[in-house]
Amino acid sequence: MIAPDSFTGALLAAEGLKDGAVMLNGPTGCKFHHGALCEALYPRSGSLDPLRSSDRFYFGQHRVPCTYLEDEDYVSGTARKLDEAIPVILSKGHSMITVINSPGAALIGDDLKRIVQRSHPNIPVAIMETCAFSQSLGQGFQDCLIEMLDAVPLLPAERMPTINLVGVSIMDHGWDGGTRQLKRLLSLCGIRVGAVLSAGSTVKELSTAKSATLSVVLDPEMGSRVANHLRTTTGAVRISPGQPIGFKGTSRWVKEICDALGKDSSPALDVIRREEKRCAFQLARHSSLTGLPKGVTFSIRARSSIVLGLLEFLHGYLGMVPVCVDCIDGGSEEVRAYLQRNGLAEAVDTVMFEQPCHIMFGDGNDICMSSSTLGVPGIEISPPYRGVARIRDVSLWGEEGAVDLLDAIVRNLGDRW
Amino acid sequence: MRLAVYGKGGIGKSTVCANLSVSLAIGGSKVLQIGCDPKHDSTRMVLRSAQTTVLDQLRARTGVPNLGDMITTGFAGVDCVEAGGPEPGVGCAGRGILATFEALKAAGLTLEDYDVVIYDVLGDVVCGGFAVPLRREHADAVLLVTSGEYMSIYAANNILRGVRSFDKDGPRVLGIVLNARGMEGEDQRVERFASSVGLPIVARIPRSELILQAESQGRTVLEHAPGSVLAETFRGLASFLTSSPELHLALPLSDGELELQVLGRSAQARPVEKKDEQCSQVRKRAELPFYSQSVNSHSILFGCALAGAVSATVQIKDAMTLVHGPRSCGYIVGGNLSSAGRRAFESRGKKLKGLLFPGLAISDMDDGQMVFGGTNELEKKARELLDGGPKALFLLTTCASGIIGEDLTRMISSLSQDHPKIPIVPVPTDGNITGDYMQGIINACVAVRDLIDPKETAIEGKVNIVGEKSIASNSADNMLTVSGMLSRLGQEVHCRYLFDTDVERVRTFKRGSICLPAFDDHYCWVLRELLGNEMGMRFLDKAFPFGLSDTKEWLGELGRTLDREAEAKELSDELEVDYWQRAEKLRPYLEGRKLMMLTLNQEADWVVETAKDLGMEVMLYASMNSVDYVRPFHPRAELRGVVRTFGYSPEDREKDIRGLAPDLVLSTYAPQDLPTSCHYEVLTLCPDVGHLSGISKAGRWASLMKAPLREGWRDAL
Ligand code: SF4
Repeated sequence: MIAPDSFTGALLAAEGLKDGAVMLNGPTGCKFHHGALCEALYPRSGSLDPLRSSDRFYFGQHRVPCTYLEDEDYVSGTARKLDEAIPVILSKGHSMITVINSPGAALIGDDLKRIVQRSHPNIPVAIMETCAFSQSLGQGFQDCLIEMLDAVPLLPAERMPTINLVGVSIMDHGWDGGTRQLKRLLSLCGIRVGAVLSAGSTVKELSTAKSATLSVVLDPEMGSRVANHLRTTTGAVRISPGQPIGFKGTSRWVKEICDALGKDSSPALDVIRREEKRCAFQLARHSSLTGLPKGVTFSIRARSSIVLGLLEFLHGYLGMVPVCVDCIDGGSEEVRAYLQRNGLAEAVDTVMFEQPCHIMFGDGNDICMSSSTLGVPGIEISPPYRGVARIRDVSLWGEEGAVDLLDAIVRNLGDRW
Repeated sequence: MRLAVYGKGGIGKSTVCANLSVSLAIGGSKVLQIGCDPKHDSTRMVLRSAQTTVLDQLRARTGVPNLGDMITTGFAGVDCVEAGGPEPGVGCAGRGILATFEALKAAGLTLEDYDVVIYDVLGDVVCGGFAVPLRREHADAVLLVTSGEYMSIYAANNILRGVRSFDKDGPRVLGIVLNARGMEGEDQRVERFASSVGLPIVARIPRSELILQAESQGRTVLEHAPGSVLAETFRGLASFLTSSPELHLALPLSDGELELQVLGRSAQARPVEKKDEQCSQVRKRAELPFYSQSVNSHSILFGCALAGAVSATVQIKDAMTLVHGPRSCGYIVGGNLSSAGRRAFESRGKKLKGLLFPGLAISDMDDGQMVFGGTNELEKKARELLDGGPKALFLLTTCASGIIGEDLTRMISSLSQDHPKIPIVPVPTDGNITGDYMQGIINACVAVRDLIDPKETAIEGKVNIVGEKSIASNSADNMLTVSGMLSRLGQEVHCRYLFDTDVERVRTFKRGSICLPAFDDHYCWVLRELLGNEMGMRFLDKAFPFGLSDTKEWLGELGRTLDREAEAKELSDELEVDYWQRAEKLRPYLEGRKLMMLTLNQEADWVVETAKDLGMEVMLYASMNSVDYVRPFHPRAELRGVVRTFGYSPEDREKDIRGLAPDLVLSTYAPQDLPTSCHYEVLTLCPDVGHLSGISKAGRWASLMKAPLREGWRDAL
């Protein structure tokens, strides 16, 4: 599967806003997949009834309206269609619009800012004339997010200082439930999350993000430049405690944030410890019968920061053994160092689906493939997912994420062992 | 001041810019000159030598160059930047200007650090890239350079058109610099033009040997002959610019006015405008042998030809498809395929490696390749793939590679020489420039036809299937149904065009004694033309059947065509018995129930037939198409009076549900927030083939009748 690039990253950043909208200046060929993807990852409508999205520029989808560029537009420019489309999008009551050029439109060189201003928008408008070509998902995501941050006004600081979670996208597994859990843990320590950049936050929260005191980067590939931008423009301190995956990973994550803010982390750590103890008891019973999950082999495909968090949990904590590790963003030093340190370096050279293993961690395509080619069960940790809907908002984050993972591992291995 | 100096190529605007920059700098201004002509000789006279261009630097390295690498300081302290351009005939020069401005911005160029910024811009090309300096954030004044030659004045007028489209909110044109060629009546001609467009001539540069002498030494006139009259002219222009001169509106002439007022002749005599080689090489929807319906009717394009073509070429399992474009295009088309693969796996347990992980690769065109062209990188990628020994290689283009006019011919011939046994087949797509998703599928079918060996002949007992929909999740099951029926008639499927097949089956396509179309649609009609009329293949008239009567008709026709009438009749009777046995079991639950159908551009006779056979009453059959209606709709005779085809709105739907009071509404999507007086069920877009199309769905309708009208969870919405 060819990985998404900077163009998709930009669309995801803008579509991650709760009350924002994307205006894609491009063909329907670029729209349909992204419209479906965004609605699947961040559903905003209870119905897929195309009659409800029959407005021009929407083409039966609620998300990612587009100017349906065609051959003539590449010659004559896109201004005419944008002039017609922008008022339609503005009339929908969004709090912000992000206009994004498709790869083809980026080559034409239309002055989007000037064209958009002609419609006299009374809400912030961010503009991405080019998302760069074939660059990383994170680059497009962050470029667009920075444009969006620059486009919104700075709201006065609120009474209680807040922090931002940075580098979170709607592509993160169970981002909605996951961020809810993290907010809960932090609130136990008296810390309030102001904005999640950019998944589920409102335009107002985007504005207040500029008065937050701390930027917590969950995934450097998706957030470090945004955090640096905030540091430069607002002075918010940046920390990168990694992904809050597993009991230890989540504890460390909470503690690092509390330490940075001079807060007491023990209320959250107590909660995590209690859950960890309960799981350890169950694991001990399971292990005394089967010896599991220690020694269970697994393959994993995900972004580096997720891979690192899961390696620490699955290998370091549960004693499982990675046989194939594929970082879809090219891999990080930390992942390589972890594998090297633990004598597992060959796992990165192994070809996925050729090396037998007991369990697969990946996206829906990986799980279908491992199940059909190797007969190996799998656990979905990223989109695209199998099936059209997921009811339980399972995430990898927090102590509940750790419990969900354990549950899935034990159940998947259960009878097959 | 930020000044954009525009003029036709070769008219001397670089001379004007360089001398102006130096005059201003000598006068005490901090000056930056940015050359935006792909010829990249704007700053040569200021620097006394050619400058490494920004695009050269972008080409040479991976990251953004720093400012120090892009800016060189020349005579009198003038800072110089040269954008550069791709080799003529490749890449996109306009994109090069955009890339230069992006690189300068990324490297942190602050225009406020300069008193004067001068952009030296080619004026014959008016694509968006060359118009970037015109943007308000770059230039606050525009100066036109022209001679008395018609094409030069014509270009100046065109530039005014460009400026006008930017400047709804105020004047920005300073005036005209007459850079004389020494033609007879030149001054008068430019004066006529200037007065027609309401602009002053702010400087007159006479034709002078001094300019040639200075340039031959790589210097400006200001440096070479500072005491000359010519140097004084440039100094005069510089002091005019620093005197807060008046700005004027851009008021271009129409072509007719230009001819008449400037040349004193009628518009018909206008010289043919030379098409610019460097700019947009966008093709109109291609002159293709076969069109999709959207392309044919010039209606909105749904999806892109690239995605359609890929969905067809990846069906040839032992071939590779290489897409020339940015990674996003590969992700989008691969994402479409894999979602179909996951659906098939989930709903039917089908292993579809070809959809989940298709033989698809992308050339990953980056920003540099958009400027300089990317065929070298494409060739490298193609060679890597060819080393893996595919049975064929398909090459497809995207919007981006199409817009910059990438030409793959030379590369293909070189690859073919090195790999003579592997067919390398270009499929013209150019993203959506050649058309929509369906056009892409058609283009792929046309291109793949070249692999068919015309010398092969039909073999008894083999048939081909054509026109299946590769993204329908029930295609595999439908195939099982069809091949089951075919085997009863002593037939086996040879090649599916283009679905789940391989190069050898395509090559020997003509071994199939007849082609069976999967649908009665435009795509299959095109295939009839392409493979039937043009290649002499026989086609069955009827498409795959849906529902009992359709299946009986299909078997009858197939039996007659293959001379297997007895077997066809026997099978037909068996299916009919099976159908009625199933229908009788369902009838008690559905008889007398009222049905309303809301479809999306589709015929659903198979539903109507089943409903009728189960004793249901069809109250309304409406097409909810909000866009372009794909094919004419022929309702069954008994439905006349209850059919609505055009403009059916959500309001109509609600009113009809209340007024007609159906028991069951079948709809392409199950609507929300509608009256709870009836049951709602999803009507599949691609029904199952065979006599059970409707009956297999009716089992669920019967179950629905036993369920509450409204489920409890809806109260929580
Ligand atoms: S080819 Fe064009 S329309 Fe198709 S995905 Fe690529 S950019 Fe979008």
